[in-house]
Amino acid sequence: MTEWRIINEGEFSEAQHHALDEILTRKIDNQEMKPTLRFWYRENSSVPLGRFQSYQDEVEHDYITENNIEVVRRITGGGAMFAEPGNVITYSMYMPREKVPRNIENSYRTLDSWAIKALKDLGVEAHYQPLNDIESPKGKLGGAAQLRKNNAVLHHTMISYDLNLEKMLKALRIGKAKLSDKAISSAEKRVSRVSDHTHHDREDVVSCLIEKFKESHEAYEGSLSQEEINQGKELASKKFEKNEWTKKIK
Amino acid sequence: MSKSEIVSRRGSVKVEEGKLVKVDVKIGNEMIEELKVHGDFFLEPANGIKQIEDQFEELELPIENKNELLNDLEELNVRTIGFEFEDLFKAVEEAVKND
Repeated sequence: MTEWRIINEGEFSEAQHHALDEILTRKIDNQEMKPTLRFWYRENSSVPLGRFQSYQDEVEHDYITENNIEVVRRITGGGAMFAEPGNVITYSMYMPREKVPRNIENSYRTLDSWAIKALKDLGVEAHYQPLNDIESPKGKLGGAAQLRKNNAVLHHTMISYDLNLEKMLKALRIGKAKLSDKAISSAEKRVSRVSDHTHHDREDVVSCLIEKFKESHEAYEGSLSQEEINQGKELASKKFEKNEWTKKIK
Repeated sequence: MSKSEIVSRRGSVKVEEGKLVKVDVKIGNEMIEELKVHGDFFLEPANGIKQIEDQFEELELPIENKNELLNDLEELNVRTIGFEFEDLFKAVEEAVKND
């Protein structure tokens, strides 16, 4: 069995996290790295935007600016999310493509299955909802997104632990975009949080996630190398912190 | 042609059990000058978005060669996840229809 590196440390800006996703996915693609599971720790409140979304449609620009919320376009498709340090759980998995089911729906289902089992162990009635959501009977708990390269797959997932939903609704233009009547944003669906279902604190939930992952994967807890951290910082300032990338100003 | 003759229109389709596809279309001289696709969908490869958008450039209006256009889109080496090219076409039709 392939040994996985688990990284459960490192506080970075939203831009640096996305830069690390790009760099670590590339390293897998170039067969330069072991499969890795990385948990995120954020410095700022932020909005990761889907690769193909329009900044103007998704983000409440004045609120974002007044509240220093960091908006960063992802390299993966999917929808905009709102994140606050300590109030969400985000992880990225980087692995060789041959380890991942070819069918897209199967791949989402499989790659989040350990996390869903962990949430269930904690008393959270979580289930996979195709294509890329994690839901509970009370509403959507989180979502995942993937990117495929020739030899690599990036799968990242964000789960709400205790998001401030009022702030989320102010930061995101949910339902405010000028859409046709039948066009209802998936974000309008009800949102639920892990803390609505369990009294375990966030750290406990992350520990439980790691334990559950280790039940089905041979893994050790490691760190990012200094080189990876430096590359992440460099790519963040060259790409992910730039308006040309995130706002796609034409 | 002067810039003032170009109008911007928008169309969108929410795919049942799928994603939202939105298009911003610039129309001038009875053809599509530029088309941008947005939404919460997935594409592989991600940079295939440009190839898709380019298929609509300089397309004469009204669109009469729908099947040819859909065939050309299918032949691109781009996999759509959360929508079909037919859905994209519907969004474009909504944007360019006379109102």
